[in-house]
Amino acid sequence: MQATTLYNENHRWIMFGRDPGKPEKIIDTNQFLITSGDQSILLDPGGIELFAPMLAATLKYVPIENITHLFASHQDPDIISSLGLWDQVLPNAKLHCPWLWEGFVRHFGMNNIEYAPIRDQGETIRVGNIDLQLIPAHYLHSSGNFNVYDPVAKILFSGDIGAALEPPEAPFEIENFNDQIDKMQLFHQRWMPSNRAKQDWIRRVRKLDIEMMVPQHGRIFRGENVGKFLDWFEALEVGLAVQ
Amino acid sequence: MSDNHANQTVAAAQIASELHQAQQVARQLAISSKNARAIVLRAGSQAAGLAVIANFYDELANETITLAKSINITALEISTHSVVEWRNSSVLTNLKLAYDQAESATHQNDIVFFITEINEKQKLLDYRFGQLMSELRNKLGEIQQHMRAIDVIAVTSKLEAVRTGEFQGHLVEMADGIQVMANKIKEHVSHSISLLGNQK
Repeated sequence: MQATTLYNENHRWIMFGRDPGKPEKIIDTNQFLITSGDQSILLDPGGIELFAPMLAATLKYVPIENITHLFASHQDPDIISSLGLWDQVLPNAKLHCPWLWEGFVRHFGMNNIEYAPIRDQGETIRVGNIDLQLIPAHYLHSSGNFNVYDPVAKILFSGDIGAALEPPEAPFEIENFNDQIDKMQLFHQRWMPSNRAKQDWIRRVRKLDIEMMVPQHGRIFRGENVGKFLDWFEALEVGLAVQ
Repeated sequence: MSDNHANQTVAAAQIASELHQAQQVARQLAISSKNARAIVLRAGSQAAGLAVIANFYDELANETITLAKSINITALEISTHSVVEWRNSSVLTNLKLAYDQAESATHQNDIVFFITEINEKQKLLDYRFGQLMSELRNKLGEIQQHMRAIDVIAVTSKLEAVRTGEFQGHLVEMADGIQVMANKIKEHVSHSISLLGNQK
């Protein structure tokens, strides 16, 4: 599992991904750890097959008792099917996940971790000394779906928005936005059903001060690539399967 | 044992299903024993010796139903227990993997605590599993004994039926039917025992 530090001031953002031991036919995912004081949160901690490399990678940065929060942007297995295993090693953690998915996500196994349902309109959660905003991104692509925005680091974790399907050896960062379009287009058109939901999300996100947009698959958008993505996405017709 | 979790879970569920079917047969057996008692009553003094036999049928059939129900519960408990052990052992495997992969991690030793804790939990689960399995074997053995007893009673009742004159035909037919049902239950139990044979 490769790790890269995205931000390291009073708190820290670390991105994990490109696991060389990943089984061939499953999609490559990015996981994120935010640490602040003696608390940490894992964003979209990943699938069951990723638990061991993720735990090993995480412990390079924080002791296990400092992992006090988990965040699942939605219910998919590549996001959170490792929950049943985390549940055994994080007895005092909270899982922040859309309220809509509680009855479903619990099927992954959850005896110890507390389910903290996120209301549809979003909310702010405190991890260590930082406040993280949970931004609604419903229907992009799940019917209950959130992003995480850190106003201090100016990083938006955008979940499946901005995701690209590409080989695991791909670099972490986008160099040329136009080269990235081919890798993103079908994913957004097919996995995202609603143009109206898309416009609502773009309106919200344009109000935020974002230096880095980090999706759950694919590469990081930095600086002007964030704006380029928003413009491209705004013009893109989604919900392709019914057209 | 950890490699065997899937087999255990499936075998226990299969045993629950076998015993569910055995229970259905035992219900028919209980009805037949009531019919036998009715005939004995009609036969009056000619079938006085059969009255005791009919009560035995009834008693054994009812006990078999109770036992089959209880086996069903135990088998389902074993199945659920196996799934817990299965999940636990999966956590353990992954933690060991994480420990190896965290070679250079500052907090690698955090994992050891959980490995120890889950190993302890696994031992308790193993112990309980052993208890449940022996409970299951005993109950299956008990049903087998009941069926053997029913077989003996059926043979005896056929001999006794000779003295009942016009009722002999009915009683012999009924005893034959009871033997067939007892054999069916024996088959389900034997199959269950053979499924158990592969488990710890």
